[in-house]
Amino acid sequence: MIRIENAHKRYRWRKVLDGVTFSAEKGQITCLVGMNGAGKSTLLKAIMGLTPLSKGSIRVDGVGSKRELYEKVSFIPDHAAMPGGYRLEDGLQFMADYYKRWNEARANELMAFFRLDPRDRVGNLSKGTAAKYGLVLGLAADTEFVLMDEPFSGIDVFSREMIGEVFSSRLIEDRGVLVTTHEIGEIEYLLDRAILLKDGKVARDIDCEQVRDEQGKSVLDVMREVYRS
Amino acid sequence: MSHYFKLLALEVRRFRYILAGMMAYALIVECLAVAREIHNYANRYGIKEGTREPGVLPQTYSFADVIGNVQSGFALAVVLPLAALLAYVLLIWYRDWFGRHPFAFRLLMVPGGRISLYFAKLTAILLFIFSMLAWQLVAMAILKLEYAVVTPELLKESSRFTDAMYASEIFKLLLPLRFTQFLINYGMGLLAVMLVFAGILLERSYRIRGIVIAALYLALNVTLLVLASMSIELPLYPSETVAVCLTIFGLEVAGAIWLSLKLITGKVSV
Repeated sequence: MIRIENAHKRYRWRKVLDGVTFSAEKGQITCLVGMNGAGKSTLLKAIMGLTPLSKGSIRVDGVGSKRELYEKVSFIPDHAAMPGGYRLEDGLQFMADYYKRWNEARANELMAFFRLDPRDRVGNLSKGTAAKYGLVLGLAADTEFVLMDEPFSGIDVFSREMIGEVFSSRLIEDRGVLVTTHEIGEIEYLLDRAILLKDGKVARDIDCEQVRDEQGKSVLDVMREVYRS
Repeated sequence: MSHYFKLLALEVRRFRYILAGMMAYALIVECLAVAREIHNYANRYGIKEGTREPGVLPQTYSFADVIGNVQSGFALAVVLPLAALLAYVLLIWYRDWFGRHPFAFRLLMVPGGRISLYFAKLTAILLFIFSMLAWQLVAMAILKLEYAVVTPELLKESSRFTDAMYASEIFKLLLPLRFTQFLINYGMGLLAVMLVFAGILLERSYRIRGIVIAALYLALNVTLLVLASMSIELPLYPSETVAVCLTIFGLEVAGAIWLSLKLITGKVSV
């Protein structure tokens, strides 16, 4: 379980996170929802130690240390995070060199699924192709948790469908997924939980199935209630 | 440890073409400067291969003399690569933070790799500097070969390799004869790189505020070094002066490493 407790973060004078507390469970898809600048990406980066919190704690399976973090959790940012001059195969080799849990067979399978050419250069990739390549790098390792930052942002409809397929595949099964997205409609039916951020706080923490069954509402309906009020 | 060597290899791979370009540039400029100098000297005495104008008694022109007279050519050959290396002290960090696909994300997420990353970048810079230095020695041997080929027989005079090397002011600076001077020059260079690295990491951690803190931090360290150098004028024994200088140097090196590791492991942002 990833547990975020009382997270605070300031950018200069602006409070981005103001006491955010929630957890993401293994085997569930949890979605962080919020307006632009609500601190969704900041939270993902903070979990990965890519930006420090002003206050608060983050624990993965009860451990606060970063020592084992990167073998347990993989992060898929909204870009490829590889040098532009690298060929895609160089990026795969980089991951194989540093990660004990790198699964080469799965990486090759994903490259084939997304129809990526290993000889292409990272700098020449379109936004959609870079997003698919980011998914290969993030999902090929046998990590217990996957964090995804805006996987559908600025991507054409066919690429979205391919990425959407990944969410319902065995690649995600049994892992904990924490995803941020504006395009909630793409994966709404797959979500287990949604955390709605507003004014730096958790406005709602909902069990999607329960809300659907008991209140007959979708995540979008709850979002309208929270963000239009 | 294996991650450190892998990251070092990665840094070397990313700079290899620029390094090769700098080496080629330095060699070409030096070869041209030497050829031009010999040609001009020979022309002054009307000497062509094997013949000379009657009535003119030329003095021989040794390789050391040639090198002693191409100071500006050598300066041109060394200054540009040196400037490129200085710029790369900044770029080795910033290139990972900027661009469409910032690589810093990936590097900072290498398992157990942040301390290795810092030392890999530091070692890479030192490796590039010493590679350029070693290349200068190779270039001198090539220049000597060039001298043997292009100098008319009438002008040739043998000279020792070291005499030729130290006829160049740049070489005296790059490769001092006294080992202690070598240690001082390169020790100060290493400290400067460490201080700049700490400054960059302050900026990457605290952005605009970090620039101010980095400027203060660098000013403090430079002031301490100036004070240490002034200890020569104090009524101290030479061994005491050395002890004062070494203590301040050691404190600054330790401080820069401690601060950089603290920042890279807990404060730096992407």
